[in-house]
Amino acid sequence: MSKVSRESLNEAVAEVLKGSTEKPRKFRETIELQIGLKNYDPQKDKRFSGSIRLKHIPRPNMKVCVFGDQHHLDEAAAGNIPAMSADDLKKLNKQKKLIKKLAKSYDAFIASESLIKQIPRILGPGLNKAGKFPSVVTHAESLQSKSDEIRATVKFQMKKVLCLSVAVGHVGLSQEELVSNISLSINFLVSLLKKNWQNVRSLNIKSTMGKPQRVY
Amino acid sequence: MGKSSKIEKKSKKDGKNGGPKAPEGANSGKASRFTMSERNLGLMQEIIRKDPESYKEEFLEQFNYFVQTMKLLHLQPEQNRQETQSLQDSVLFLSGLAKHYPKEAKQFADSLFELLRVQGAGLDADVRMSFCKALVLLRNQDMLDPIVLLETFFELVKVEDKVLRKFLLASISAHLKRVYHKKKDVKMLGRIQNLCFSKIKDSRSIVARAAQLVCIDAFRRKFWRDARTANVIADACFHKVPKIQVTSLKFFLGSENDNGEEDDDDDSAIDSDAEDNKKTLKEVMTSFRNVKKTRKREKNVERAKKMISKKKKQKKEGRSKECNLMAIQSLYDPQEFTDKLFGALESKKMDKFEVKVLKIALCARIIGIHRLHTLSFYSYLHRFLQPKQRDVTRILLYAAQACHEMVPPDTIEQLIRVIANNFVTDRNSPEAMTVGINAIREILSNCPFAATEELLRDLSEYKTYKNKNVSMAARSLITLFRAVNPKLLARKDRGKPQEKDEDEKEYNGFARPKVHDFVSGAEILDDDGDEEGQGHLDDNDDDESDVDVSDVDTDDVDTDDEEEDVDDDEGAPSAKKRRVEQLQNPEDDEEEEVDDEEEEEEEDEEEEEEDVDDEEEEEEDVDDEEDVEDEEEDSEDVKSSAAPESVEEDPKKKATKNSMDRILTQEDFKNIRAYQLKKQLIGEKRLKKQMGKGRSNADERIVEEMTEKLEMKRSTDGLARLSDIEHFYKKKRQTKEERMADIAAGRADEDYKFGRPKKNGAHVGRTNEQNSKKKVFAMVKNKVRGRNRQRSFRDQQKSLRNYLMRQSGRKPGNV
Repeated sequence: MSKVSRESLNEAVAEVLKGSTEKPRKFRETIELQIGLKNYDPQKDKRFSGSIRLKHIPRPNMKVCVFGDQHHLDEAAAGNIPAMSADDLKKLNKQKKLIKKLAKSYDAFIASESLIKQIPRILGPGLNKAGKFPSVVTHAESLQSKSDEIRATVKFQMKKVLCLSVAVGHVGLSQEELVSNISLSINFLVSLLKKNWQNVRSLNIKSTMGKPQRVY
Repeated sequence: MGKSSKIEKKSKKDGKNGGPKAPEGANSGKASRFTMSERNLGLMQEIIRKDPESYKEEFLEQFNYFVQTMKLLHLQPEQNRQETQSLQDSVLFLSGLAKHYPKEAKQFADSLFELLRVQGAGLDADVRMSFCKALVLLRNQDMLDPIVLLETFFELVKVEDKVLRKFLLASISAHLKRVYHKKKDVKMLGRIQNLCFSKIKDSRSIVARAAQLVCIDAFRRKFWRDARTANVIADACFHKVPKIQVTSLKFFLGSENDNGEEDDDDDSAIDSDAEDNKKTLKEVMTSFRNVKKTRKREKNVERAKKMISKKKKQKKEGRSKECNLMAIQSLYDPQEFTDKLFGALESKKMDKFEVKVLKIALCARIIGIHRLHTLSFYSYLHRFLQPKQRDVTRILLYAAQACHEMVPPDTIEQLIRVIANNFVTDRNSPEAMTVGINAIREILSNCPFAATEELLRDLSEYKTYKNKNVSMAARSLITLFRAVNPKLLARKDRGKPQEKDEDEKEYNGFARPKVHDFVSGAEILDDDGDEEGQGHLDDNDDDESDVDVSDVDTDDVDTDDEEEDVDDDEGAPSAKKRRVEQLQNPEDDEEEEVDDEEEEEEEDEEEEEEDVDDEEEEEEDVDDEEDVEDEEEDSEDVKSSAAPESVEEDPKKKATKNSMDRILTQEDFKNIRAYQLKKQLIGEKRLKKQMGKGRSNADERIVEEMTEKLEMKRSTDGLARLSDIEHFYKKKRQTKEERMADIAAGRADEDYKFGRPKKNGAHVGRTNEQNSKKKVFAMVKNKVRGRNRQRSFRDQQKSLRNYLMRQSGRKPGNV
């Protein structure tokens, strides 16, 4: 017996989509999955974390910045992707405010292989603190595909509280795409939990401004 | 309270003659003082309590006396005990009755406060104590504002009086407990908390220390288990007084014993369950009080007491461990905190070595738990990493704890190189080498990306070192890398590539987070969840078909070879080959999704697999059972034709499809888990097998320990333990003293049952016969030997025969 039937999921997604068309907002609403956990002691049990790549990009507007060497800088300039060189970073001079500003102005960072090792030394702990430490990109990969990959990746991480939420799509996606994204992320999340479904208290789907729809 | 009850008891004895009429005697001050000692205030207290209205006069009388004496005390605080005894009694009396006369009570409390505030330091210790006790009593009856009382208490802490300080701290935490448990008064708790936090910043160190102790105690006992308290305690790490620093540091690190065994904790959890069934200390004591005291019972009670206290201690330790982790986790800004702490370490100011080590420990632990970037910490540690350094194993441990996946590999590499150069050389003692290799192993298990081929091969040379400890340490390092990254090892050390269980890993390389495309293991589930998939799994559940699982996903190439050798089915080899090709093709298709790096790895692995297969053919005698089963499986596969082949066509795609299209159920997850467990088991089996015939028990033990450790890392906070670093395969030979100490420790535990016969006692050294001569005849006379004994059948027969013979007139005995 499946805990969440396909029909109910379909219904909930349809409801969310309907809500967004009835009262359109001036921006593209994101659809997120909210999860409540139970039988889990965040102090004792190890905090889980894991990331999964969804098939359909949930947040296409995510801003990704490249810390690149010459090769990547050229590529970024060609592809119109924001980029910074090592010298640009050094100019920040480890000033906390500037680094914080940098971390705030982008959603994610990628860095070339040759640069990644120096980044903690150049920038200090600021990026790490913001949870936006860059991930590495090799010369073989194209920047565009890498940044798309990052846009498609969602991270499940439990912190001090027993609930978490992740973006799983936006209202621009079709019903099927949303359903497949949502079921993939539900499956993955549940696989991360120690006792799988027995740890799940509730699952809700919700668009940014819409009403939450309970699926489980 | 104890005092008053004593007085009451006394009063009951005296009560018969003087009690009832006593109140009438008190008129002038002098007379009252005289009667005070004669009469018993306890009894009067009881009477007044019953009927406070009508006895108000008596109370007021006492109160007046009290006011007079207080005036005197204001003028000359130094009075000796005899003079103040009566005052203490009356204070006790008044505080007991205060709740019936609120107006007087207020005045009473105020005067006490005032005296304590003005003359606190000058008073006699006993008087001070009795005043404090009276105030506590009043507070417990809600007669005064607890905040004011706390203020006064924190003032009084300044007085140099150890007993008083102890009493004050205990009473504060008892009050907190009361507020927390009985009233659930959140507001009051918050107010007290605020007061304590302001006192912790007090300029007088003793006040700050008292407040700190209160905070720590309240955190441990869950009264104030929140981020705010933790952070206030954390701030105290930078207090200028070293003692306060140390207390805070120790609070975050937990007690010494915590570093040790993990298993103890589990035991205590089980024991505590069992303990609930057993009696509490109180029950034991009451039952003992009411029975006849024999020596045996006394002994039993002693033993029970010891056991109970032991259990309590264990429980407490377990609790403190948990709360330390929580305290560290709830720091507001761990990065800032660590930087500051590290700054304090590096500053010119000289700390004691012990304090320094504590600071290093806390830095390392926070870095490890929060995954911080404090890069200069690692180079700071370099200077301590010498075999001759005091507490070097601890410092090695801290180095290992501070390493995590987010640290740039080159930093860690430097650290490892320093350890390798300083510890792991032939010049050093074997102990130092062992400890060094162990530390390197722990560091590398935390961040495997820092390992270099050269260093690792260097270290793995030690596996044939003549000292067993060193060689085993090197072997455990090799075992670790067999699981983590076999490519770095020399070929002969690599072993057969095993199906890696990568789900738990968070990173593929430095700054290369592991990203899943699907729920791992979902490929075993069938599309529609119909019986086919179930059947497949049921097969796996049988013990015999262990190999079946490995066959499915690990060595297709392997079976392929076998098949060619055997050639029993014509169609089989080609079909198999096709399948292998298919297996590789889809991977090519997925290129967009899979990193190039990863693919390279895969190819490498495949190459290796083939290599190993070549080797394996030589030692087929070892594997032959498996091979036979493999063949059987293959033939079955072929017979069942298309269906399973299509299933195995592309596990990745299938898993993706599975995890996208439907929501997996609890059973599905159960199946996946079972499958993964099986895979892991087979991996272990393999590992043992591939070590060949030359493997020893020791090797097996290493493998077991390694898996155990990995398991533990996943389940707890994941930090290394001291026992990992100080792990010696072979125990050092103990000296005589150590052996004797061990024996003594064992004896204390067992309360030794066996041992020498007792030397002194009533009957020692005499036989029973001798003893019987001293006894009264009546006791002994019935014990004629044989009288009370059953005769044997033969004896009975004999005597019967003799009897019958005699009856018939013949002589008995000669038949």
